[in-house]
Amino acid sequence: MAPLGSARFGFAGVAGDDPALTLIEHQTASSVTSVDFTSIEGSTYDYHYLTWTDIDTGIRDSANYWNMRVKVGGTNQGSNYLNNGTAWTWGSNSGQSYKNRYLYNDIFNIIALGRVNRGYGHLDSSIDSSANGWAIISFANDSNRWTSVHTQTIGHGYAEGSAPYRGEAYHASNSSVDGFHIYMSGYSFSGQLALYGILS
Amino acid sequence: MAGEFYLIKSESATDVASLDITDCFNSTYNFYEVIWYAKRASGSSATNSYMRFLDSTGSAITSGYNVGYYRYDRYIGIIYSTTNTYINDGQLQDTDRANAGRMSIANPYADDRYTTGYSQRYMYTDNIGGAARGRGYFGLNGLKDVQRITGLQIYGTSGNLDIDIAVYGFGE
Repeated sequence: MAPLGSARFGFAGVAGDDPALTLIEHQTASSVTSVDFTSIEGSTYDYHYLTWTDIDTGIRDSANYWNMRVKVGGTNQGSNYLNNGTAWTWGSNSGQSYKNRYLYNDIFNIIALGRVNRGYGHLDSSIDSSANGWAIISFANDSNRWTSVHTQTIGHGYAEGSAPYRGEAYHASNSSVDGFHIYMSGYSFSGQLALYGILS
Repeated sequence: MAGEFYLIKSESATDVASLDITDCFNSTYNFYEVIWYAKRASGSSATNSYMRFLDSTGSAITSGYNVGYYRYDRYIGIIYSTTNTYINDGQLQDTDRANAGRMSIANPYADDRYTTGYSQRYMYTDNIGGAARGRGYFGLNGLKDVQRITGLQIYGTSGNLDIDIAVYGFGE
């Protein structure tokens, strides 16, 4: 059952089923380089649901990657990751008739959650946009299973249009994960992040 | 406004050839989310894991699956079949290897429309381009025939699995 005092979705059960989603923590990021979730209630939840909305760097001139690392003993882990994913983008800002497909593999030092090559923002530079997405994280705290991550992100690139990303990852270790570290490569960012526990 | 996302049922088993999660689809919900983790059991030589639907009697449906997946590892592949005997397959191949996935699925219990699932799953496989590498699948699952689905089965080949599966319903 979900911990007392937590926000819960679905207060009135359907057909006796238990509401399954419990908000563990919501954070508002404002021009920060990373966001940490350090109380993930891993002994209670085998599955976590991480969401990010309105993630924006305000910069549109260089590569942005939306990443995650897990924490073990409170320390960000820089290795033992397996990571595969793909993103599609428009090949040009003006023509939009050719699509680039980016394949991510053999990435061992991060979990990629999303990609926009030239910054999150609308094609019209006067209009701001953002990246939004989610990840399902399985068995973070389990000492007998690798932690797995399934993620999807959609964001706009100033030069390349929308960039849908789908990715998969493992933290290929049986270490008990006790936190998540979310960051944008090379930039500060603003936006909303929320971590939920999924009842199982 | 509160959302509505409910745990219908979860099952776990260690060192088993297969695991059924029965009566997890019903007339209350039309849209579901499934999360599973099928790991090679300790000491097992299991090489693959698979998923099947259970019919209205609780029996596994062994034919007539339509699947279409993008496969991503070092390369890109497309898997398409209208005669599959399973869905959401994955390779295991070594200690701690698993087929970990999630699937959204529409209309499994309805007997007057097609069942459609969208899944993504991940595994670590041997000998892709001469090395062990990650491999992800994204794509669609369905049945060729319209029929009622009441549950799911995960099973392995060449050895036993540790299996965890949970099914959730979206309230309407």
